[in-house]
Order: sequence, then C-alpha cells, then structure tokens
Amino acid sequence: MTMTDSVPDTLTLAYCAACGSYTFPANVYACRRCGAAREQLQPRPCPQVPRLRNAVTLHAQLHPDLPVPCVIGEVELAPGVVEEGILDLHDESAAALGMALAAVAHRLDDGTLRWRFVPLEDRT
Amino acid sequence: MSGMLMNCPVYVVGIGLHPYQFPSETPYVQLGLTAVREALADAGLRWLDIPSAVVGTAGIGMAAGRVLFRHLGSSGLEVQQVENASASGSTAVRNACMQLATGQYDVVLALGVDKFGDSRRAALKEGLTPLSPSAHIPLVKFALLGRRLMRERGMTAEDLALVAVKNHGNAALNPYAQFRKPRSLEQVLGSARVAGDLTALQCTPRGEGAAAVILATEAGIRRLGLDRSRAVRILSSVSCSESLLPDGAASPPIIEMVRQSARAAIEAASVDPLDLDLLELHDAFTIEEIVYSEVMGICEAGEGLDYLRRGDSRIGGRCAVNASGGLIGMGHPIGPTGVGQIAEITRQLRGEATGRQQPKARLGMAHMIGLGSVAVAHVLCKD
Repeated sequence: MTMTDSVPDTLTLAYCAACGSYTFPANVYACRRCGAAREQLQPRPCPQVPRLRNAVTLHAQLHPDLPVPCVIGEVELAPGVVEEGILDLHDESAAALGMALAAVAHRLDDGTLRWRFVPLEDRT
Repeated sequence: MSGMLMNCPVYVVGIGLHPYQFPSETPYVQLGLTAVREALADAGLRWLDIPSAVVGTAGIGMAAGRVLFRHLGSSGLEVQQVENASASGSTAVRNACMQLATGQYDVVLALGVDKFGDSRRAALKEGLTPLSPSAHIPLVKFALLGRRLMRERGMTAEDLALVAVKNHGNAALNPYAQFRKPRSLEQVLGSARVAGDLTALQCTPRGEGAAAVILATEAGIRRLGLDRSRAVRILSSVSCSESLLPDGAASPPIIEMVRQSARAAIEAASVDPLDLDLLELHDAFTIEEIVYSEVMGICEAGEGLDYLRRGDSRIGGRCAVNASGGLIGMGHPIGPTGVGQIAEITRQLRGEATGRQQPKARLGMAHMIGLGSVAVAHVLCKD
C-alpha cells in the first residue's frame, strides 16, 4: 500500500491543552480560540458523533471537485466547531437535522484526501 | 479616525464611474481613466490639483495606480494601493479620509478598479485543507444561512426573491449598473438554480468597472474654490474584522461583524440608524439584505422581511436600501464596489440621482464586507 492509497479511518481535530477547545483541521497553526501555538495542540478524534446542523443542494458547478447536484451540510464536529462537509446523500430530503453522521475518507484521482459524511444508520 | 473626522471634516467633492459591465476586453486603464476623468469634471478640478491617490483593487496587480495615472500626466502625486477583498474600494476611501483628517493633504482621490478573474485568494494558500471545497465559496455559506433563517423564521424562497426584484428594479434606473432590466418575481425565481434557494438573479454577477471619488477638507474646498453646495460630508469611517464568538452565540460571526461595524459607524457619526435615508450594503446574495437591515438598526430584529414587504426599503420608502441596485443589480466588480457606494450616496444626497432619487435624502450609510471576513462602513450627510 502506498501513501497515496492509504486513507485514515478517523477524522481528527486539534485539541488545545491550553484552553481545552477543539479546532479543525488537526494540523492548524494555532488554536483558533486562544491562539496557543502548535506545540500546545494534540490531534484527537472528534469528541462527539458528528451531527448535521443544516444542509443545501448545490445545483451549479462552483468547484471542479464538487460535481452537481451534491448536498453540502454544516456538520458539528465538536462543541463550537461547525464545518461545511459533503454529505453522501442522493437527495437533500434525506438530510434530517440533528442526524448522526460518520466521516468517511477517500482519495481523489490526484491523491487529494477528502471526507464525506454518511448517515450513521446507513453505515452498516 | 472617526473622532478625527469630527474634528477635521472631510467632504466628497467629486464622483465618477465607468459603468459596471460583464467581463470584456476593455483594459483596466480605460475603465479607471473614465471614472477619474468624470470625478475631476464633477469636482471642477484638474489632474494636477490631486496630490495623492489611493487605489483599491483586488486583482489588477502591482503598481496598478501608477500605470493608470501616468496617462493623466506624471504629476508626482503620492500613490498607494490597497487590497481588502470586496471591501478594497471602501478601504481606499477610508485611507483617503485618514490622509485628509491627519492633515497630510487637503484633497485626495480614492479609486476602485478591477477586471473579473484577476484576483487570487489567500485562503487557498493557507496550507490547510478544508473538509469541503465549498468552505471557500461565499455563495454556499450564504445559501446555508438563507436556509437556516427560512427554517427559523418561516420565510419562503419567494421572500428572498423580493430583494432581487427590488434591487434589479433600482438598477434598471441606474445608467452605471451592470443589469438594467426590471425583473419580476417569476423571472427571479425562474432563473437558474445555483445553491439552496438562491437562483442566478439572486446572486451578484461577475463583472468589471471603476469608481472614483475625490475627497477634500474645508481648507481644500476653499483653496481650490470648489462648489461647497454640492459637497457631501463623511461623518464617520469604521473598519473591523470578524471575531470569535462564544459557543452557542445566536448569530454567525459574520452577522455580528456587520452589526458591530455598522453600529460603530452610526455611533461615531452621532446619528440614529432610524434617521438613515439611504443604505448601500453588501447584498451579494439576497438573504444578506434582509439580515443586515436588521442588525444595522434600520428596523427591529426579525423585522427585515416585513420592512421589505411594506416597501420601507424602496426608493421613496423610509430608507432606500441599495437605491443603486446594490451588488445584485448594479454589480460587484470588487475594487470599485465600495467607492461606487460612496458615489451613489453622494449623488443621492445632492439630489442628483435622476430617475431613482430618494426624496429629501439627508443621511446615508455605505457598508461593505469582504472575504476574511472584514467590514468597512462610512456614514455621509448633506448639511
């Protein structure tokens, strides 16, 4: 297996030992809340099950890596940390607010790592 | 800064624009020269009267001002160039105010000019990969905000579209606007779907253009023999960026930034937001106008949609919001946009906005936001 093939099984955030908050992504330069330097940050898995807070469908192609239609959601990864994520849904009507999600990694053809969010109950 | 504007009054004495337009082969120099020459003529000044210029541009490149200005004559003026995303032009105006309020000059030009497609975003060079590429696309952010507010307030897609109907209607009356056709609700809703509930006619178009304003102090007006009766005073100038809010904050940080910057500009001008006759604001996407109307204080929290529906934000209403057509109708060529807002309010406060004049206009605010996010606000009044 090459580095290009491998994908992580866990989405990680940066935990700040100085203030106890989380920042995404895990390799940030500093804590977004208190400004603590990278030395104070530790990569940690999401401290909660990601939850869907909002969602819309993209109808127009706005980015080459976002084939349309696709559903974009606001996903809560940790208290106060809400990020836009691509939802693995065929239809926006399946996006129930508050639904539990699982982050699934995959690589694009050029090797770029991407995450998609799958409804937890669908991930069997 | 705002205190300085109280102690050393600064006035808009000349305005000029190149109409905003869809991307073309027109060189940026041509766009800029048109705006500057019109502003000089409007003020009754010669190029050699201008000792300093601040150029707001997000994408033209290094030395945009000098390359352009030499076609007016190499007069030796001081030239600065500022980039502050969509608020680049507003920042040029603010820096020009600062040069005047600190006594460096008694007359300064602020110019905004841009061509579509030239700008590059620093966020893409941050060295961090977002979860979704949409994280760098403002349209998606505002589509999500629109959906959230529709859900929380029981608003409909038609409600959002009403903003576009009003602003396209205003733009149809503005000879400098990129869109000059009134649009019906059906046309707005029937245009191509882009993201969430936003259709193409509810989003600002891609474009280019230029806008120029000439600012002067009392001393400059006297020294140059300018027409004092057409001068419009800038009462305050405020700028800030987004701050992190406590967990569980009711509004997204960008909304709080708009609230704080607008309220700070209004407070520094010692006016009441309910007395604003004109408001030019960042309506790149329809939902913004409804929300910003509320947080800027021209109506109560949660009243933005009713304010629009009642016609309070129309030309002739309590406060004409985006009488120019706004970013949706007039266009948003980036660098020029904030300068163009100042030009529109100046024209309105002079009573010279033929065909789209807000009656008895005396007080106006120009408010821009930019990627980052940043905000810049100016309050203007006619004595």
